[in-house]
Amino acid sequence: MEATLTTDILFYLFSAAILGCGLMAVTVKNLLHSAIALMGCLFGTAGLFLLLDHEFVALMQILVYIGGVVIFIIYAVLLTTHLGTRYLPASTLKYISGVTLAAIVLGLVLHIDPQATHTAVNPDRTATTIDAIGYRLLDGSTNGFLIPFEVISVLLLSAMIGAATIAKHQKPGATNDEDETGGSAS
Amino acid sequence: MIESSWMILLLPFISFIGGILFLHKQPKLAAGFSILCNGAAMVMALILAVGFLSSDDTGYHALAHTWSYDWFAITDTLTVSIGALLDPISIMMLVVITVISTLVHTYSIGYMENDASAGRFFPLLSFFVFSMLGLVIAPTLVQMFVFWELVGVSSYMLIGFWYHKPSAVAASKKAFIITRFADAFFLTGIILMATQFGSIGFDAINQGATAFSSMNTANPSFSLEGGAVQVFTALAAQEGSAGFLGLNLLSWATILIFIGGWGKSAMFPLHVWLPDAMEGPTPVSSIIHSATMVVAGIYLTARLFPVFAVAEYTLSVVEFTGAITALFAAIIACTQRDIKRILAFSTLSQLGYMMFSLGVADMEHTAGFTASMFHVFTHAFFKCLLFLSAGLIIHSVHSNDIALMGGLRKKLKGTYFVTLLAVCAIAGVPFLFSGFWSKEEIIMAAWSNGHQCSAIIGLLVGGLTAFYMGRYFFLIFHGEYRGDAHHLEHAHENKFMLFPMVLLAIPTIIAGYPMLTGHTFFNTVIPQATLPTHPDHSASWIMPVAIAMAIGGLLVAWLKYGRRAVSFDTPSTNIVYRCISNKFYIDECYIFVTKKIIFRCVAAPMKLCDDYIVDGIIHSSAAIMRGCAAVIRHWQNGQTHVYLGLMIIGLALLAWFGGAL
Amino acid sequence: MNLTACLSLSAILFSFGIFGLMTRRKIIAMLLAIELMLNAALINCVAFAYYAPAGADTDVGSILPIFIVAITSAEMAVALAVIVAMYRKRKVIDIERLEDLHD
Repeated sequence: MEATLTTDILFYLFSAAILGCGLMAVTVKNLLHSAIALMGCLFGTAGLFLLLDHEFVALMQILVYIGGVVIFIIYAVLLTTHLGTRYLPASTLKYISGVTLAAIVLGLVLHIDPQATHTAVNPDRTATTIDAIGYRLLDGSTNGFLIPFEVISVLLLSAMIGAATIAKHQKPGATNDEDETGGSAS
Repeated sequence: MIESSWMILLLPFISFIGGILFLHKQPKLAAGFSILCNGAAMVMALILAVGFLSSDDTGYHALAHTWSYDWFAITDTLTVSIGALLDPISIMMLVVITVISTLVHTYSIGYMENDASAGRFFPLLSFFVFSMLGLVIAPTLVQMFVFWELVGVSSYMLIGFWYHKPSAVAASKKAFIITRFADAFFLTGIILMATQFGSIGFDAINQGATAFSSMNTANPSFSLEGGAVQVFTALAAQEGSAGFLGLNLLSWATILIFIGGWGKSAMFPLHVWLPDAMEGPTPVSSIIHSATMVVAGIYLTARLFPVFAVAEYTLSVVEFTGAITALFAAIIACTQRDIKRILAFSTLSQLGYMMFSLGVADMEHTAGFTASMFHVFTHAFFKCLLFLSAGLIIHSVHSNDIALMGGLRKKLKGTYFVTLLAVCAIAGVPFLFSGFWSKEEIIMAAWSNGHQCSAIIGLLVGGLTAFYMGRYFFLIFHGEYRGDAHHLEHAHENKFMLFPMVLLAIPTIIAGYPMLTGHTFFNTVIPQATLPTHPDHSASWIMPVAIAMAIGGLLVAWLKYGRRAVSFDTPSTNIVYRCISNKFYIDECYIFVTKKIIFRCVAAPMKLCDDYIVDGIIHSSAAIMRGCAAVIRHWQNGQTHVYLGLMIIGLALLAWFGGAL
Repeated sequence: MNLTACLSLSAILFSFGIFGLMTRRKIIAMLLAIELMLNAALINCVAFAYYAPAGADTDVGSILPIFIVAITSAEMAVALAVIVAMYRKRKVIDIERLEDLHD
């Protein structure tokens, strides 16, 4: 998308949404609320990706992150803490250290970031098509990502199986491979 | 045969290694293996001795390093070598040690038959024998010292063999500490000797010393070579030098070395370990007292005799020590009630004989030296026999106390006869028994060389010896049995135990006869010296007096203990008697000196220093570490947030340095 | 809108994530903070691809997020399974009370 005033305004709107929701996600007391705030933050990020001409990533963000991961989280919240109502306050020391560390990292990154060159948009650039992504992922040559793609597939599969095994409900004294009532997380 | 003499040394060692590694679970096999090895060593030693005696040249020239290997070099000229030195006295000792060890091993089969740890016993006994054999054939002071210490450590293991008995543990510690105390002087003496002479080989030292001593005599013609020249030069430089505390360095070195032998041979006042060493198994006592340990000191003195003789005062010290010990121990032996303690003190007394006999000799009149070695030879057999029979008696009546014995001659006939022979030998019953000849020789040598005082002490101790051995004998075998009748019924003579005793009875009698045939085995020990003089038989009154003393002693013992029943019920109130029976309170003196003086005045300040300075440094460094750890430990508390925080800091640092690049 | 603005945005989001990670005591909330941080990383990826110079391989800007998202979901699946199992067993989701896990 061309850099216009509209895009600038949109960018700052999205930024405000992302940061506001992100801050909420890490500060609100109710865990369910913070999960919803995370969802808002992710939506904002998807919008930002659209703004940056990455429709595929934006789509993936919405489908996988919001549709999958955050729903997982909400599920887990519901399973474990009775709607996440009971709030566990952190100590002042933890707040101080959290703020300090966050400030340190922020300062550090902001200190490093301006070193990035080529800040102008390439005028000849074209948006990445889904075809191109698919071809690159399945390209076995040195330019392609076939092997990482396969590895990530195996990783996902094993994580799924592992998650099912771990979360499976175990009766006291029962062995691992007994019943199949668990597996809610997957 | 001379070339393979190292086998004599090796065989007991094989027995030790094999036994300790493979056979400690099978006592019978271990015993058989040990006896086989020691028996083979004995046969080889006997062949060696026969070969040596039958060769034409039995003098010092026959002396041979059968093998010698340079171990390490201290300086360019001073090299420590290990090897084997064979000369008359070492061959004599080889024979004595191997014969006695074989017989004692055989005896131990019977003695240890009901002992669960017998599989450990035989290898250790073999190791003891190995150490002593190595000591005997050592051609240098350093090798001798090494084996000397091995003798110490193996005796420690054997005296404390029954380590579950506190008294045995205490006795083994006592023996070890006292001999170590003496060994410290020995080592100092060796170092002094090495720095003085630039040589530690007996060969070089003795040749140099002999040459030096014969400078003033008629035939000073010697061809010296190698280290002996250095020794000769050093001796010549020493002469007349003032030295330290009125003694020159040579005297210091020899006296320090002699102190090593002093401790090992349990001379007064370092004798206290020997009576306590009775806590070990009786075969160990018998081998310690006859062949392996206590004669090491005598042997050391004999080995270095030429240089001792050259040094001023040293032989006087030797003579004085020996005479005092002989008299002192004999007096104590008259009052003891423990069967093994009596024998222990008699050993002390006999060692005193050997020692002062060495002291009365000099390079001109070597009769005392010969007599001393002769007495070592004869004493080994009859003392071993006495201990073995004592062991059998203890085994039979389950008591050490002669007050609980008596009348055993009916029950233990074989023991009775062999003990009778041994008692006659040690008491010096004339003509038939070996002890008579050697003791006679010693007294004669002392008198004829102008040491009348020692000779008279020798005669006196001869009488005392006859008395206490008679007391020992009559109280055990005659009269009525005073102990628990139950034990007497089961008393019997194990054939494994009796057999070696019967065999030992043979040398107990015949070991004295070399004297009659000119005893070539003993009289050619001192290198290239003037021909040894036979004792001056002008003092012919000595022999009848000695005989009278021996017979008289036995007679008094018979009158006092053998003729009528003896009662032990009322302890004597005589203060002299009590003082003697408590061994002149020497042990108490030691305890007083160590506990009250050394511990309090030396050890306690040292402990303070140790606690507060040495330990303080360590403790404070530990405290610093603990302080640091206390800080770091809090980061490792399982709190995920702490880990996360640290991880983030680490990542930030990484990013910082990465950005800086 | 430029690269620096995008990177600053992601940096701030990342520091929010760190803050959340350090101050939350419920494990799920900590996971949530981690999501935020990953999100910041994604923004970085995409922003760099968008502002890439001529001739750069901009496809990577789409492919790398695929991997990031895949790994994240795998991680989430396992982590949530662990949390569920642990909660079931010990009725605890407070990270401060799970310090014995380091044994």
